[in-house]
Amino acid sequence: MRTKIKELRLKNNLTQDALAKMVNVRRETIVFLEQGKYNPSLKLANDVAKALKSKIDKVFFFD
Amino acid sequence: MLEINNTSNGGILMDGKKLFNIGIFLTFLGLGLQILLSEINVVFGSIISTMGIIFLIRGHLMQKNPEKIKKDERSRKIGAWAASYSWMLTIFALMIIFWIDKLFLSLSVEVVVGGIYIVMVTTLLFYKWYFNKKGDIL
Repeated sequence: MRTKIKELRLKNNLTQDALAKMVNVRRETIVFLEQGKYNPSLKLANDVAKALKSKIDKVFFFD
Repeated sequence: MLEINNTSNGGILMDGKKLFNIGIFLTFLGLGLQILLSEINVVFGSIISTMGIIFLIRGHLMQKNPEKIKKDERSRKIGAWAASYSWMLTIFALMIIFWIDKLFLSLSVEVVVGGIYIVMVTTLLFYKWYFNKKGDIL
């Protein structure tokens, strides 16, 4: 799985900690999401996409 | 009165300092009961002081590093999978213990219970650490 979280997060001037607080997860969960190591639930994926003012299919890519 | 906050992710989070203070109170209460009721029942006092020590440690961790205590979907998923792997290995260990007892040497209850306890706790901690390091369960 690939993600554009880091790119969109920096575009929105958000830190990992701020994004983690917005979607109510630990900061390390955001770290693993950015690295594509963690497969999120549909709800979390949707919350992250919303927080980054984007859509799920523009943030997460399943090869 | 205790203030318990419901977190938005469904968990119940008590203030770390209050939990720490309750821990101190319960630890000393348990110790006091052990001294006072030593002739009647030592177990009751030791259960209370053990609870107190657990609250004390958790309260301290909540104050020191609340991020580590916070649960999210990833930590819950890892915890659940680590627990199921741990149960599976414990059943395997039970099977080995059964055959050792049946074929080679007779084991006492203390050895069996102690063995199961060690296998269960160590495998749970190992899998939690491993999945946390990996990021996910697969």
